[in-house]
Amino acid sequence: MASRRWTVIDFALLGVTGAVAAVIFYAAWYVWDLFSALGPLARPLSVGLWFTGSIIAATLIKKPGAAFLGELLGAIIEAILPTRGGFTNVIYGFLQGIFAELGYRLLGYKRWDIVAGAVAGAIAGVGELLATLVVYREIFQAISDVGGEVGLVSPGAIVIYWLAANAVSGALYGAIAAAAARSARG
Amino acid sequence: MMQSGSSRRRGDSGPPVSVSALLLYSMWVTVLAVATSDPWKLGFLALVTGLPGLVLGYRRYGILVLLLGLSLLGTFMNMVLLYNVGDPVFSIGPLVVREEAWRRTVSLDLRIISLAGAGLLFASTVNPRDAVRSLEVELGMPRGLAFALAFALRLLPLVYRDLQEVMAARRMRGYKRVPITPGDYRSLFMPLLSVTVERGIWVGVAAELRGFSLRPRRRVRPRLRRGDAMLLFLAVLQGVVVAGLVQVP
Repeated sequence: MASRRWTVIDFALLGVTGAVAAVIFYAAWYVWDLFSALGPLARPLSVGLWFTGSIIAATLIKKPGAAFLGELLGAIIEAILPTRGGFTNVIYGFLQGIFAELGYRLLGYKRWDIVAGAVAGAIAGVGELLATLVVYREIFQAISDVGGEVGLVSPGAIVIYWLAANAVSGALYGAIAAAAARSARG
Repeated sequence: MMQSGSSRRRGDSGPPVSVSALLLYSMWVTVLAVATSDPWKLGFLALVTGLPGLVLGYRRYGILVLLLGLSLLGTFMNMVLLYNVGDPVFSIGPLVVREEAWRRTVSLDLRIISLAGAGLLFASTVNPRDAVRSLEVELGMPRGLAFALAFALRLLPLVYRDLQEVMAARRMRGYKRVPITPGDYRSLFMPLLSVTVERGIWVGVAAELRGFSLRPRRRVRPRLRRGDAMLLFLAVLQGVVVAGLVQVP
């Protein structure tokens, strides 16, 4: 493996990721609105777009910390641009970045391909779930309360569904982002 | 918009609040809004920070504030769908909105207003370049990260320009106007990313050749301004209310 020390080119590529991720994150709000119109349970299927910053950064830079910093930087720019999430974007970016980084860590920082992108994207979904549980806990409470009352779903089932939907969405968009980044870097 | 550092040094009185103080204030209000679920406390945050932020933000980001309105409406519809129980509060035509749905809508919407307002308060009054400078030299963000952030902000208009060129090229080749399938997105995204990555690599090489790694680290103490005391007062006041040290109804 090449040196793990960050060079200026790595930081420039991190900047590239930040700009591209910010554009994706900005557009993702419209996709999220579209999915929200289908119902609260459809929302998680669109969140994988918000994990792409970490995947693009890791695939381009191929160094430990790239996934975390790429996601965090995209989220900071998303907050500065701004978007409706305000500074909560930074909370989401921080947690999603940590879990995406964990995905690459689990693979020993040896794979930066499409499979690694899908794995990291799927794991980043855990970060999104934690952030939503903290920031918008009422949404979970509402869905699980009503689901429990009519006997359809338990709160645990809602969390598992949310996690699974995040993982599927994260894996799909993570694989696409990794393929695009690999192709762009050549 | 806040003035840049150079214009501040030219002797005028400068902006009433420092960028660092405003950034910390916005983040503090975000944390407070996330920490509480009490509608009265959230109402206080929305009144003190959320609404002024939305009013200021509307001037520059009108569409964003309008979309925020749609989000608030969406929250209302979800809560009516899921929680419309209890005593009637008001009715809209045949729809009777009941206590539980209304209480939960108010609580969540006040948090959304506080969060968005805090973000817009910062974004609509601060130049992104000043924000990066503040993060690096006043708040101690690592130099490499600050470089990446500044470069990303510089790249944004270029990425937008590239995007328009790619869209024009797609139209000339007979592709769909609005990308729908993953293939459409690939044909849109790939050239954009390739050009931007190429640009990034050469900017990195140029920065290194100009001695980026050898540049001494700048660090200055944040310069407090007249309005910073007011921000500090508001931050403490909101913290005291959310902590429950002062009772709101």
